[in-house]
Amino acid sequence: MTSKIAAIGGLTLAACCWTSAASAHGIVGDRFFPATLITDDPAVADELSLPTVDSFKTADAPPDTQTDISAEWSKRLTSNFGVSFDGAWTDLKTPGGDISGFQNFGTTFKYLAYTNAPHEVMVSVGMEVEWGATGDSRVGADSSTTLTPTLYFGKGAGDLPDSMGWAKPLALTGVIGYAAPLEHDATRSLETGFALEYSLRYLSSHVRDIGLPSFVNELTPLVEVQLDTPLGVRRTASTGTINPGVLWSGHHIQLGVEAMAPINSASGHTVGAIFQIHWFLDDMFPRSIGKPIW
Amino acid sequence: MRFHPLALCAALALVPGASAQAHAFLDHADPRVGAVVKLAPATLHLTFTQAVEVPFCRVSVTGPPGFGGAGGVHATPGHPETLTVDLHGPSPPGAYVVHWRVLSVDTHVTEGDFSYQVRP
Repeated sequence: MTSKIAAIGGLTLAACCWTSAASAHGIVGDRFFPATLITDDPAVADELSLPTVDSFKTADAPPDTQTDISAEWSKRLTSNFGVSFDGAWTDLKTPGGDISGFQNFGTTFKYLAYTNAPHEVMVSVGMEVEWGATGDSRVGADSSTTLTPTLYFGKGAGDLPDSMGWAKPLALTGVIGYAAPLEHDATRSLETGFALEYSLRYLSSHVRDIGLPSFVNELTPLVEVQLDTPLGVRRTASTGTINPGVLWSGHHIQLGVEAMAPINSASGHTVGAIFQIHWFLDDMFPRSIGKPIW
Repeated sequence: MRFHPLALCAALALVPGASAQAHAFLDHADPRVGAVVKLAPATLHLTFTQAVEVPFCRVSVTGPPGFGGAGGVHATPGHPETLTVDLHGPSPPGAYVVHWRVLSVDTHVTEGDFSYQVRP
């Protein structure tokens, strides 16, 4: 009897959720936009990136070896609105010795503004806040608080004609942000980035199952590009990286690894690397911390 | 005491998940996604990456003129992640499109579609 009541209760709960159709992850229609390592994806979700580890040589002469260990926790307040908290610890190996400390802490507010399932479109708007003077200036943390209004977008290619079925697993996500430090004489900049992805899961589930092993079907090869373009009278060269890599999306976690190739000498001289473990809290704890508060 | 970043990553990667529940994506189907088959199937089997709540799963199939349509969605004994869909005959040669919408056991809704062809 107890089990029957529990079953009825469970089905009632399921029915309620069936009608809401609100899904975390970056899912719109047939498309799942995985969490990318360097550029933020457009989804509002309950997730945790812990840790993200990157290492590269800076553009200084002689170069320093910089290693960052960062974390970001994203929490949905409603199904469409969320907040993220991030922080990073940096270690610099310089010719004069090691320096380490925290970067400024950050908070991001993001609102999922538009979705179009048939065309696999997702658009969000947000405000990223870097809290000035909360980090260590010796590792580059600014004293000024910076506000970055940001547009996030994602577009899947699933609406291409069937004659271009091979291209349907492609997707593009991106961000465009205007970084405005609150100190009036600080340099403002345009922060842009995009990720071009090819989902093998999409290929096997929606286009053609060519018999690849399940592990391979859970891979998403991608290339991320990240650019920081200073604006105003003291303009300097854009800096950024091109980051080819691969994501593996499992049931509860996603693993990602990418190379970090500088786009010019102002961005660095050698290829670095970045690695991330990403936790899907909405899948791990769907009835507690993995669901929206309201 | 110093620690190495890779050691931290390895330790976290070994942390087990809370349960075996997550979003249900289509893992494979019979007939296969995008397949060309000579014999029209009498049933479809859709296997997802997670167990699904069968009463709240919907599968529709469209086909060429003369197609008898899809029947109900059934559980597959011993395989809570697999749906069985009966097709009403006849199933003439042509292209068929399967649209699915499922509820995983942890209440996440996912949907998608795929096609196959019957070509004797």
